[in-house]
Amino acid sequence: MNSSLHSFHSLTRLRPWIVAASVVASLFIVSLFIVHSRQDAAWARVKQRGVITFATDPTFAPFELLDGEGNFTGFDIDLARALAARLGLKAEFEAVSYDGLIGALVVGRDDAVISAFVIQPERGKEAGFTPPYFDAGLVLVTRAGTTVTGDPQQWAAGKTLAAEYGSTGDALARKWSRLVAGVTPVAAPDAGAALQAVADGQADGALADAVTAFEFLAAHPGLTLAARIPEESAPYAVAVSARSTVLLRELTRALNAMEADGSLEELRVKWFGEAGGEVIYPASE
Amino acid sequence: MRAMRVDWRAWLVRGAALWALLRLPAVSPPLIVPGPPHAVQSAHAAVCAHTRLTDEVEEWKIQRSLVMVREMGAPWIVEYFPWAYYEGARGDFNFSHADTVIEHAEAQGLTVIARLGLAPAWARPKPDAQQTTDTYLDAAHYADFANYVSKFVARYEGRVKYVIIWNEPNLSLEWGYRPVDPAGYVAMLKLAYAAAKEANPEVQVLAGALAPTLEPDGSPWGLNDLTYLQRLYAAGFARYYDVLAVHAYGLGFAPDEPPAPEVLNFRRVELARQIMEANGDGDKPVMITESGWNDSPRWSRAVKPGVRAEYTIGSYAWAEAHWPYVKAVCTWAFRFPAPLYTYGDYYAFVSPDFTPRAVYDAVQQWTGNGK
Repeated sequence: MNSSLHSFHSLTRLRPWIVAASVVASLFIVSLFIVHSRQDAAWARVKQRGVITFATDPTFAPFELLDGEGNFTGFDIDLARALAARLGLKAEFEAVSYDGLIGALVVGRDDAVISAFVIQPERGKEAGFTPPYFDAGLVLVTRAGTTVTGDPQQWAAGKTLAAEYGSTGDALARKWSRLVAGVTPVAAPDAGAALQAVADGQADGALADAVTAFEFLAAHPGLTLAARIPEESAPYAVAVSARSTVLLRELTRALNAMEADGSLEELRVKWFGEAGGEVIYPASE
Repeated sequence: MRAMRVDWRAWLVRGAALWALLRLPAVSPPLIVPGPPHAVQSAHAAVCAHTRLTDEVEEWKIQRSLVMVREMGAPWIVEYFPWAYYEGARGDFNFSHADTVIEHAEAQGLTVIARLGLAPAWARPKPDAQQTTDTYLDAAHYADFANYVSKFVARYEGRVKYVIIWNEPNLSLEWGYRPVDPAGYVAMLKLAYAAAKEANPEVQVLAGALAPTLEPDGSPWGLNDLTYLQRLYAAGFARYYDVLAVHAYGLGFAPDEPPAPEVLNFRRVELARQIMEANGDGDKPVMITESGWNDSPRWSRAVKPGVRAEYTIGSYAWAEAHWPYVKAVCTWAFRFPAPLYTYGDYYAFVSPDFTPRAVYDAVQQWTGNGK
């Protein structure tokens, strides 16, 4: 008896066991899924109501704010509505102060948080996060044609860097001036003045938060976003209760689908201009 | 088969080395010592910083924070001492972190105002019955909290003279995400006050610490601080505190902006004072245990960093010139142990890596400590 025939006969003898084991495994997986879904009270709630409630602190333009008639508006609000629509749900919003956002998830008052909320792994016991959809951290703006490769701090050697007095960018420019030879920090009265100093040739670069930079770049094509500052990144994500594993999975799928088909980029361009539209984070589960 | 020989001398040496290794931590001098006592040099005695050392693990960072507070010219600090951290299981107290903070504060010559609150899990409903946050405390456990207050006050008798009972109970999120309850707060305060005074009759009990808000009656999120304060008095508040703690944020307004009931600004303190006086409590002092301005580039209630520095100094100067009943103006917050990743970061005087922000330099200059 050759070995392959032997294997075939063995397999034939084992087939009923394999089938039985497969059925048991499938039932186990299905039961896990059912238990999982039942444990996710938020998911059960949104499916039953057809509504997902987002907690948001509407004091943070252009991400979430109230318009003149008290309606929620902003990038995050548009994104929440789009995510809800992809899940066959309607989005509703509740104004919650920033300090109370995670607590609102913990006690089940709201289903999700969308509020320019930076991923905080240390809050993993309380909250789960989707992949990031925006990075609002610090960026380096230079005149178009300037190439910044590698570490922006090293690029800054011998350069003049403008930033708003007292801002994070100002603190970083001062720090770099202590660490790298020839960095000259210039404090400007506000971020717009710092960026204008680059446009006017009075500074080689400006350090500003991404949203301020995007707004300025839209009106100043002679400037470019030369680099992001990794140590000052601020990746925004949707948060859910740590117990809402199914809801998190569904929101993540919807967000990834939006990134993949370009609709998330469209939304970023709508609110932040072309410079804000770039894909920052590749879609992932 | 070879007979095995035991080399007793080698084993003796090994044993001695192991013993020395195990003893090493016990005999090594501590890496961080409080050092000789300092005194705060300040031209302005009411300047106070609300520190955030609760989640600070490394002792050198606790020390560095407090050194920088002293060097800024602030004689006072407010600091959290959460019940949940120090009585993790009923009756099992561990104050080692609090000991460290208080020891270093003393070494820097700082007067500590201790904020007590946050309920441990054992004093709250079981999670499978009800999900709660650490701001949830039902009446059945008020006595447990009072017991914690008693333990804390007794332990630091002569070292901590001021304690604040709970925080911002006029906000739902600070009241366990339940509807706010002024009478409930007074019931808790009554027990905490008695416990504190029994442990140390000299301790000064601060109460109130209400969040400035305009939330109307029936709001799920809270209640107007002035309305809430009046209801506290109606529930017998006056008998259970020594100093009114007030939170006075400036938001977008200058510190001298006149107060009005429908406006949240720094001088809202004067409206709270009127309520104290109307209820016969005009002899009691006030401590502003949270205040300040925010310089986030994006938050709608923030101001520019330079304006923030100017307003912050203006708030100390205003209190000094116009409010003799205010003993301290504590600005939120000196430094966070780690970034919050929100506009909250822009309340800090120094960054998590101890880089001073514009407001720090300005206050340091104003108190006569400029370099």
